[in-house]
Amino acid sequence: MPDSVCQGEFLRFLQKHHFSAKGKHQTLYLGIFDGSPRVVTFHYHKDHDEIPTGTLSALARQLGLEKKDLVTRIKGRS
Amino acid sequence: MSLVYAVHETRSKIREIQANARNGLVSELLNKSTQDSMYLISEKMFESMFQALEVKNVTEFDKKLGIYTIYNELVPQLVGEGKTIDEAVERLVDGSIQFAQDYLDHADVFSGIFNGLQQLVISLIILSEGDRNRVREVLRIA
Repeated sequence: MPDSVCQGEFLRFLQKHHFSAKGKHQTLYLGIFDGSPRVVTFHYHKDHDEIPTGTLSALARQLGLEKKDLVTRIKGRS
Repeated sequence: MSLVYAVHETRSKIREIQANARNGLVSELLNKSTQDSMYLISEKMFESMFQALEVKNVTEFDKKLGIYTIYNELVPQLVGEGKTIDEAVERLVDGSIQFAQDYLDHADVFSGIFNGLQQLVISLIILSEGDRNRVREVLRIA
């Protein structure tokens, strides 16, 4: 499925934008995205595990994006 | 009578400030050198403000993976997944408690990222002190 996103893909997307894990649980990622400071809640388990569509929507909102825009950015289509 | 107090006089006037709150008056605590203000309000006002706040959660189901995701619309960092809606709700509560702990540990960093309404919801989760029923009330989960 071309618009599916795996956990590894999203983790590398965060790393590409210089996000780093913060806090005891290491599930909060802090960084600057499109000029604004952002906090993203992301639970990484396995590289190839697909991220459910609803979770992808939540991640997109945390970054101030629509889901389709986030997928486009992760896939490097823009 | 003024409801504006310089921060250095709050200690000596705390009884007056508390009486203001009991009488339904908002006191402003002003730092004159930085012009920062804090406001002390009663529990009644605080509860009313919270009740007026629209707190909604979004539920989505991924048919392919068979996973429900529930996240808070106002603070989308509060999120839970599960094979059933009930499981996703429980994970949302777990995740919210965990988020609140991490937020409190780094409040100086995170406070500049969230707006006032988001900070209010996060603070109420922190004030819940891990009580799952109180967290459910804050997130308006039935």
